[in-house]
Amino acid sequence: MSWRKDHADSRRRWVGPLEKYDLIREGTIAVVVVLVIVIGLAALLGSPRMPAVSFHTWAKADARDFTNTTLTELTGTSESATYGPPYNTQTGQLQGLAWFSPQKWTQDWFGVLVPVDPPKDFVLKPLTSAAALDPELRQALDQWNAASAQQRAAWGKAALAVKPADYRIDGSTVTLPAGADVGPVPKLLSSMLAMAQSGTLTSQSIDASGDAYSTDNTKSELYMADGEYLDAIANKYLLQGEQWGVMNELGTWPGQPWLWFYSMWYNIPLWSSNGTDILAIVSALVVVLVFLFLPFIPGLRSLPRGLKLYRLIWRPYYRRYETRE
Amino acid sequence: MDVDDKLREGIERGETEVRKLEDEARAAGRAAEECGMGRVLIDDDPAKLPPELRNTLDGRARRWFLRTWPPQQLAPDAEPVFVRSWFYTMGVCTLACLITLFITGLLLALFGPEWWLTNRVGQFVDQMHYWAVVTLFLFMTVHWISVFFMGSFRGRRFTWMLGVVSLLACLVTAFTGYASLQDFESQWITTQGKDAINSTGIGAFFNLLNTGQMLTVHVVLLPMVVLVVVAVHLLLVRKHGIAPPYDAREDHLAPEREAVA
Amino acid sequence: MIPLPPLDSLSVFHLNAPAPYLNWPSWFYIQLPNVVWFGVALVIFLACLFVPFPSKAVDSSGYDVSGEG
Repeated sequence: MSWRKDHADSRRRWVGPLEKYDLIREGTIAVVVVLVIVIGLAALLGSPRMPAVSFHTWAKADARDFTNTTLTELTGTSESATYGPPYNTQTGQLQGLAWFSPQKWTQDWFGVLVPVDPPKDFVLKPLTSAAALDPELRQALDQWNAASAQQRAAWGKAALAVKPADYRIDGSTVTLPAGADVGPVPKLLSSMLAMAQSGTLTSQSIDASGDAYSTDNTKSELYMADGEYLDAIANKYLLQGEQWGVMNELGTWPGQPWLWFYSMWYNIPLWSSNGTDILAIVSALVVVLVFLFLPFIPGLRSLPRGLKLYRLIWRPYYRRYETRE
Repeated sequence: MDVDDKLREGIERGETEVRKLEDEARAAGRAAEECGMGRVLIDDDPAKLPPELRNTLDGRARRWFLRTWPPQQLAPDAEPVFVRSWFYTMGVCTLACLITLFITGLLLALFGPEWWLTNRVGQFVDQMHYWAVVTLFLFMTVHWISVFFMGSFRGRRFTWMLGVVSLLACLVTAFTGYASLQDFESQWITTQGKDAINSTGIGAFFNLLNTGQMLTVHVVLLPMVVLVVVAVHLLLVRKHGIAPPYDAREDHLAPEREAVA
Repeated sequence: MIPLPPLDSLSVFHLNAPAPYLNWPSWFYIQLPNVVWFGVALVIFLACLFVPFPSKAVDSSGYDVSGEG
């Protein structure tokens, strides 16, 4: 039984026995049944709802982590600040497989498309607005802005040398037991912490530019993700990549198990040791292409015939109509 | 002749006339009304039109459509007997889940993206929307696997490909849906997913962290894509008919030269 | 232990607890609800395979079902 014959036979119009079949009736029954199932499941099991983490909840829950993250943003050493395309021209998160790097090529052709400048956008912008209320903050900001790049780098280096566990946080006042001069940095950090803890620092403070509302949360989310609070929640619910997190959901609800063909590449040993996102995507793409072009792939397209499960599926037909030679 | 005779004569003459007309109509394959039961044969022969009207785009499209999808094939009354399996209902169940998604989605869109976060009815509709997604992929998976085992992609390769495309489209739709939730879930999924999307170079154009963009893509763009792909998939299924079993009896299949184009 | 945001849902049963999971071999994780999902898919598949489908053959000889005229 060759594929060619099977293919040709399948195109021949059916002139054999028929049975009554009503598509509209079937469709209506299916919709009603599915609606009942969906309403039932929604009422019995519901779905997860966890409020978004705001700077307010983050700073109140883990002031130390918030302060440390803010420091890395201010000094331009955070993951977002050193990310690379499409946010800036650095290379911290630039990925490629040997020469194959569409991430880099996009920036080569189009430039920086989603400009994100953490020291300015995440820290100095909200502080500048707050400086109207706090003369000491105004002074600290002026000192920071007037300083040279080397001076700022020196202050930053000294501040970063202090381990987060050693920060002295009293309410929202941050003191850094640093070995060297940290300049206005503690004041800037304290003000950020105070704003966050009081709820003054919101995603709009960071995302909105000019007088428009913003529905683009790129900056505030990048800032949030640089911290460890989102990770703390993810660790509890098994949402990290190494935990096949792509397929998982909060609580004990089903996630997206159908994403196994993508999630697996982050974990199966041979791939995970070279683990990069681009590798996982290319591998998943290969799987998708095999599925897509399956009817054109010799061997694979004849698998259903070879596996013979169709004899079970069309059992009633074969029993009644098959001629035995 | 009295009135009764005249009446009888008139009725007989009328009946003969009707019979003559019906015979003529049947011979010409034209529509014939029988006691109110419409028996319509669609007659779209360009030869019956004046020469200037025979080559319109409308006409060509219409004749192509009727040729490819005769009404009795588009909405049939019967299917071959081998369609005697619950597997053949998996496709329509997937479609039913899609319809549920559209209904619940419509409500969520009507009341805005924050409805489910602030209102109990909204939260319930969102829960329905979530379970409709779970059941969608459940039925889609069974449909897909059963179509594979039945080899229904024989002679229907483009239909199969559209099926895979619809799976991918639904997948991306689900992903943008998660990105539009505006709760912790979206924060985590988008901040994690951005690395993979950025690595492909499309991160700048498909910015997961741009909630507004994710929402409009999820509510407007992708449903249109899913709708078009699924509609063409269904039209192709009606065009080619259901794939016959492997080794179907010879006399159950029309001779090869009558194969559907 | 830093406080985490609350997790809720509007339903009879609350599935808030982190899901039990299987972590074997060391690199493979699967959460219980996903196992259930795959299980349900398998059950539906087997049901379709073995549960008889009610239908009635129709004698269409002498009739024209597909509208060929």
